[in-house]
Amino acid sequence: MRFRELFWFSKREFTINPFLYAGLLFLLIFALTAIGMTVETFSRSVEAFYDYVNRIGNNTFVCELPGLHLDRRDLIDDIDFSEIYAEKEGWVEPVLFTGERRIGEEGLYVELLYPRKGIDIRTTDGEGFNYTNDDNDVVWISEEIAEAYDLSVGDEIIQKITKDDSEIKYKVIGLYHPKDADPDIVFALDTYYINMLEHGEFVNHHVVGTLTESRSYIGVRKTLRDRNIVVRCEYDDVFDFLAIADIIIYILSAVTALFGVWMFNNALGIMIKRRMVYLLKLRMIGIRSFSLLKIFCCTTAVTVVISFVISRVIVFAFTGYISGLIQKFYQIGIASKGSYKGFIVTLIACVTVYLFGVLKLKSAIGKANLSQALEGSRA
Amino acid sequence: MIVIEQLSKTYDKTDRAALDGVDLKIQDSEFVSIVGKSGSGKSTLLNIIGGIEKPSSGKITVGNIDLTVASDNELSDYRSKKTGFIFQSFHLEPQFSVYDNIRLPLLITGVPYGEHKKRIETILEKVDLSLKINDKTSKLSGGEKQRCAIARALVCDPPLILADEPCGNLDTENSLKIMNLLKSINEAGKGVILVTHDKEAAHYAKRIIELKDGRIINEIS
Repeated sequence: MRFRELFWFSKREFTINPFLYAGLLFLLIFALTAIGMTVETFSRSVEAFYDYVNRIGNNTFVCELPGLHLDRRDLIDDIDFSEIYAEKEGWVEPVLFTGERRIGEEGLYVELLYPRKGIDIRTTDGEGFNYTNDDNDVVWISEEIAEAYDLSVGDEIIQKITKDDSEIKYKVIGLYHPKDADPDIVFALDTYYINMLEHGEFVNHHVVGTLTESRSYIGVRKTLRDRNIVVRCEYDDVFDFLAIADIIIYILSAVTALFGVWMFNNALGIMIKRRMVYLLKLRMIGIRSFSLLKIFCCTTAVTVVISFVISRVIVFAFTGYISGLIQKFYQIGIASKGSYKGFIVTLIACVTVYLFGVLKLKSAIGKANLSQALEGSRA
Repeated sequence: MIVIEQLSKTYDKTDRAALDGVDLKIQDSEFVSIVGKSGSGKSTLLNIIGGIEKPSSGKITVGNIDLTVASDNELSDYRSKKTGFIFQSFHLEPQFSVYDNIRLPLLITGVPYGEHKKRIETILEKVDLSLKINDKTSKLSGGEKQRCAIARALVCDPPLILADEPCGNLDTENSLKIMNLLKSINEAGKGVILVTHDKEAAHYAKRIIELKDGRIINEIS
């Protein structure tokens, strides 16, 4: 059977059985949306933590640590948190930078940036910014700071730690053109950690974490608490909520998806039964069983594809709505990451459903007895 | 020519043979009526000739096709190209138009799209149904439905027409029309095998075969 004939038969199927296929479509959308929601929600919580870290950056020290994000959880073991953090009054002290030509007055601070992956610091003089610089005593400074304090590449600046009246000397190895959100001074990762381990006090951080998930955060929090490190997070309840919501939505979606697939299976059975007379009429006229299978595979495939597209749109809209709700009630921005996981899992579900349908149709057509149709005519 | 040798058919659910050692030869372009009481095996014989059912034993060849050993695909091709079936219950697709119902065999046999309209219009003229071309078959009268079914059976121009109680659901006037149509089809050179319990209808054929309990008990030429 050629494509044109196949198209004709498939089109007639939808035309003469609109409600049947609409029902199948609905059930499929039902199931696939549930699957998509599960995966999508899982991914969204990842983004929540990301933004959460951003927001609490100025408030809570421990949570600002870049080692707490998912990609660098291994660093938890490398850092002695008890040394960094202890609950006592007056813990957080300001960081003051001074230099040969003094770049800060007492109580007047410049902003620091500890490095992050993917940072876009465009140097205009000296060495380019290197995230993994091995030198522990080098910094990059913005052109504005350089101009304000008459600094240039090769100059030395001093970080004065007011807590113990110690000093750290840095060599300026590059200047960069700052964008709106860029800070005044930038360290490489190792430089930051060494300073953190030795002195453990920075303020005015711009924290941009790597994406992680709420349950991961809760795991980190537990790890820290096991080490008697107190984690003070303004939005702890949000993470607890997200972790529980994840599980609830996961269970609900799984149940809904299973129910949807079961319903689809039954609906497909009813459809085949109801269409059997038509199938047999075509068989009597002389259509080959393989051609018949192709027609119904084609119609089922179209149903599955439409369901897939609609369910993706629903998932997209619904997760967007949930993100909006979280933003509204918790003032937490949820960044849009785009979930390929949801797409892939839903796609796999679609293909599975489709193959299942094809097998069912094949079995029904194989068992079809032409004389069954004639029974009706003689009755 | 149709050659049937020692043809038997037994259904699994009953021990009784629907056909029991039937021997028969039917020439091309012959008009044959098969008569008999209900359960005599006449419809089973027609179904086997039409490639819808397979016999339990014996042999049947139509032209050079041995239906007893033909594959499923060969039987499908035989049904679509060599035979046209007319049923008592019409077996039309009620939600299709007359045009689409008649078009089905053309689509199945792969007749070029360009020929469809012309062929369908020509055949509808023959069965006097041109005015109903776009009507759904569910809205047709019994006689019109049967004429539509005949048009569907003829549209691929098969050499053999098989009719199973074509007038069973029709009034006298429509029965007359249908039988005259079958007669003209035969006169146009096609073989017609008619299964009926109506003696009057049976006499349209040049040869009448009577079945009883799956066996041929009488033959009138």
